[in-house]
Amino acid sequence: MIPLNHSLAIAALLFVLGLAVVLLRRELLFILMGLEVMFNGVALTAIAAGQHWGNADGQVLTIMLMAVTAAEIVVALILIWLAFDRYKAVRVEALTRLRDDNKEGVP
Amino acid sequence: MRLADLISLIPYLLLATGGLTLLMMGIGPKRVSTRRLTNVALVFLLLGAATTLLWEAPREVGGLLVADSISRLFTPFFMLSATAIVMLSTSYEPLRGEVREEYLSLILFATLGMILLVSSHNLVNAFIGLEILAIPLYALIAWRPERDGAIEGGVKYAILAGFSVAFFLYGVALIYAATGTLDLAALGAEPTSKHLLPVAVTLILVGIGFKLALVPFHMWAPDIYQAAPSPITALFASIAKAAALVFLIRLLCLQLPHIWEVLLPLLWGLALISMVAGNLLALHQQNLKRLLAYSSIAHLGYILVALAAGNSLGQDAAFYYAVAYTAMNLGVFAVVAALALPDHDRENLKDYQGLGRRYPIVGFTMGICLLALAGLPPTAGFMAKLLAFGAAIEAGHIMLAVIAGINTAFAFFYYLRIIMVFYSDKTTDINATPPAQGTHAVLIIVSLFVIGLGIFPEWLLESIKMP
Repeated sequence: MIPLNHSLAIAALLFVLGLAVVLLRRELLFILMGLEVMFNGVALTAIAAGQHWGNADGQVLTIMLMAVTAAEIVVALILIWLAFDRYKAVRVEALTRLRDDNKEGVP
Repeated sequence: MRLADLISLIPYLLLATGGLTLLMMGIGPKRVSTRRLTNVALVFLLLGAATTLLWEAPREVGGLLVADSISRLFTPFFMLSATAIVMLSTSYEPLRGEVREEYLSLILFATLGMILLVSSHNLVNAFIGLEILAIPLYALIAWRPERDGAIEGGVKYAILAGFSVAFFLYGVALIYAATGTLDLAALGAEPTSKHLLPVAVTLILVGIGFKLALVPFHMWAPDIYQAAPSPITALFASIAKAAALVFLIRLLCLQLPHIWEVLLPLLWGLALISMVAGNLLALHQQNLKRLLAYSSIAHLGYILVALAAGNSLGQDAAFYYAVAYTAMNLGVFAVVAALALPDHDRENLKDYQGLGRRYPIVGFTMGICLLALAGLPPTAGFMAKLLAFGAAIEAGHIMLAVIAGINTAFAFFYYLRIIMVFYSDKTTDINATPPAQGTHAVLIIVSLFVIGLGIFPEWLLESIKMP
């Protein structure tokens, strides 16, 4: 049997890898993929812990996670497609319409 | 499953069936009128709020949900606030003709997520509540995508909410790895010497911190507040944040001694930096919705001051502040929604000049809610701050209480600036249709609630006493 610490270390590595993708890549689709990698790190942790404790909670958590994140990614993908459709935006820098308005000082 | 369990589940079932019913009404051959759709949504929300009166508190259902005094207070409160948001949406000009089946059912589903989150007794359940709350909001922010910045707001929120949920879930999975349980009560009884637990709770705090827009996780808040239609901003700023906050308070009230040692400096830091940064960023802001977003960041800082105290007074103060915060923010964003122009919101403060004189009820509500946000008696905002800072002093956090006090004084400047704009002699020449009847009703009820809660704080403090 694989010791819990080993699987937790791999899962943590996966999570950090996803985090790095989200923080470093500027393309919207890559960011979504990075999120998925982070979720996979979480799922691996839950499965490994479930095996260690010998109960089903970890697997329940993983199945819920898969269903819910699929729903989340669907809506996020539609929004990213809309952004491409209207602004031809594939990178985060293209989305800068919302910003602070400090120009005038105190009225 | 016994009858009493079923009774505890009725509000959840009602909201879920309500959302589905609304969607079903859209597939018939005949177009159902908007008024009828709204009425159906309102009936389900009010019925759901009424059925919480049948609850026998405290009761635990299947180890997942708990119907205690807190969920008993917040469940009907969230449903009634959602009713207010439906009313605001129907008379909100930029969404005219768009508040139909999908929009209303998404609001019902989001409310379902909130009440699941506040009454969850299990971390998986909390995660599901958090997501049922968040996913409808992605769509609602970008409603009518041709509005300026709508898509950008939706994309930003979708990515950041996914990011925060990943942290939250990793924390949940690590708690499970450390203890072998996902139940909150079992977690509270756990010996807390395990070294993974502080890491796990910190990750959950980061996840919730994103939802609450605490500094340094606040970047999304002003953008989303500006991009969303005002009724949805009202939902975001009030009940959606309060739901995440109530869950956080529940989690921190487990009082795990070893974790608390790690968490205390963290909460201290978050509270301090949220208050100061929120107020500083709000100071010169010209866009009203963004200004209010920064002010709400500062308010969450004050709530963390109460939570960092870690005593029972701090806990009561945090719950009281959550209710007061919800009501005050609902009020100010209801005003922004009421004064919207036919195709977009008024953005710059100049566009609001003199409107308090032209529409007395709107001006009155704005005045009351802003004075409450600033913390003047006899409003709820004053009592909330008094309790929160009192709790901090009782716990010996004198420094934190002093800094919070200075920040409150500082915040007066920009709140009073808004009131001065609303009651200035010059009137803006941008005209729009006057606010509708339903909006006026919401405004009056919210401002009376804010004053009433400030004069009689006992009834709320009595009702949240932990058994």
